[in-house]
Amino acid sequence: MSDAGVVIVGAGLAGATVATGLAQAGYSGTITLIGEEAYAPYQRPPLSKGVINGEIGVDALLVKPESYYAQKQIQLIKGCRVQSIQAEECRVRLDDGEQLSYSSLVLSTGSRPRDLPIKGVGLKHVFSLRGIDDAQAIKDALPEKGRLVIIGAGYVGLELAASCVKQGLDVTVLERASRVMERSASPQVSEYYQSMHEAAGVKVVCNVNVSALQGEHQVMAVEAEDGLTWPADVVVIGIGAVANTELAQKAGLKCDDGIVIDDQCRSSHANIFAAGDCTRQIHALLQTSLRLESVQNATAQARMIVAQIMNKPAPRSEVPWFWSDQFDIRLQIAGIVRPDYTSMLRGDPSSGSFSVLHMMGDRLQALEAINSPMDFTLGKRLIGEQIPVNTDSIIDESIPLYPQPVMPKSG
Amino acid sequence: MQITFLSFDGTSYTVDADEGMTAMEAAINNGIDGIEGDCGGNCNCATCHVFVDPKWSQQVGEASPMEEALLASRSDLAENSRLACQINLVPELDGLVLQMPESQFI
Ligand SMILES: Cc1cc2nc3c(=O)[nH]c(=O)nc-3n(C[C@H](O)[C@H](O)[C@H](O)COP(=O)(O)OP(=O)(O)OC[C@H]3O[C@@H](n4cnc5c(N)ncnc54)[C@H](O)[C@@H]3O)c2cc1C
Repeated sequence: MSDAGVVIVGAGLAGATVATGLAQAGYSGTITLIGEEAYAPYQRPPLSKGVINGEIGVDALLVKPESYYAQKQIQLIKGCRVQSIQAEECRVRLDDGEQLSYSSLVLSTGSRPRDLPIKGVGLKHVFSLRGIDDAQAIKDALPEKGRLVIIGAGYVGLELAASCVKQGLDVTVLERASRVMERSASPQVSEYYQSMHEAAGVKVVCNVNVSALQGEHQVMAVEAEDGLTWPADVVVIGIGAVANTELAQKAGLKCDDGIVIDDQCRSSHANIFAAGDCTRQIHALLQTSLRLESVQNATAQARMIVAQIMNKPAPRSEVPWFWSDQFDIRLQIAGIVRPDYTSMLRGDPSSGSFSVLHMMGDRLQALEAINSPMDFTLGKRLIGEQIPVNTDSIIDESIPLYPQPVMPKSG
Repeated sequence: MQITFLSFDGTSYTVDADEGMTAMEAAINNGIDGIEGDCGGNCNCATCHVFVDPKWSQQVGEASPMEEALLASRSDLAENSRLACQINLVPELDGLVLQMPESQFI
């Protein structure tokens, strides 16, 4: 029987990395990469950063030039949605009715912005930010010096706020939680970022429950439960993302807020893999079940799938990491910040460069580095190795985070 | 201008690049395998690691602290290591030769 090849559903970063990785590794079957969007695979991080203020053009976002796929004999099908998977027959059905057989299937369907179920979200000039088209539409809708209200103070919302306030827009961020970046950053880091945003002229309002968007055709204002309103020319909703698991669920794959995959990125069906934002996996190093939304997770899982399909040694597992650029501040996070860790400050926030270390006993579990790239790199290594450390020396900025002085054996 | 990328196995690729691009962009735009650029050229991920041909080290110059920190995460770090996304192609770099580490080939 001839090899039916690899079909990849979702042409984002994870899908593209599987396809190009297979081609580079000399995969001999056909590689088909199918994506719903009108674009060849592209990088999303700049959308909330340089793209929105015109510093980065859309062309610069492509993961590979479009011609690369043909050159490598990857069949890239754009603007096409996969409708269903017939897992027993090893076939997928496309939205035009065509069917494709596979020997291995890769689901890299990503995530989508979470809906805000309130009145008025269908009004004109109400957006979310996930793709090139969204960034373009937001840019086009924003009048010079106009009023932008962002609902949700996560990374995407705050990056957008930072980019827009720089351009002279009147920016307000409304957050339901008691602090910004509540879901993934520590209180110390939240506080630092809130003060940076306020200093730049962003109005940050926490503990506010948005209840409706007002306007006839176009949005005019945002209303909160307590009756307060904020006038708006444009509203962007950024309240997190949900995994695109519907296709997998319909096909009977195990899902739990993400397609559940094992440490080789296999779903509950042996020849169906999944990678990227749409997955949930027990992290090999951290031994906790995680659904990560990051560039690092998408590419690491994609490379694991390439290794599996090609029967190559599995790449080494890495401590999860993430970055966010706001103003001239780079935040790099290694590991997963959890409230039950003990946090310690390394360096002085007023200097503009410091780190927050998160410990479990004498082991470093996570680290947030603010304009402290060396702490990030060395701290990531320390997290990966789980070496016991002395808590006095670890906060001493004059000592690099790695290697830490050897601890005297306690007797 | 032209840039040459050397694969770890000795294969050489000479590509046309425009002034103002980064060396990473020149590699990506020309479909050179061995430069990943996972983060899109933001000096974030260290997957566009290159070794600068010693003849060019002076012209290419030194890494910034951010870049240096990321390079420190590479097990194949060498004296002439740089991140290609941080090498801006100015006219003086016409003819530049960069070698790509084996670890960036799948
Ligand atoms: C504005 C923004 C800023 C970000 N900034 C950062 C950052 O600074 N650092 C960082 O690490 N991460 C950042 N991220 C997250 C990062 O971009 C994602 O984690 C990454 O894109 C995930 O890649 P993916 O391939 O899993 O999913 P995606 O890139 O979402 O790709 C999935 C693709 O699958 C397609 N698809 C879905 N269902 C189907 C179907 N049935 N048929 C065909 N196609 C389908 C979708 O249309 C989409 O194109 C950011 C994300 C956004 C939106």
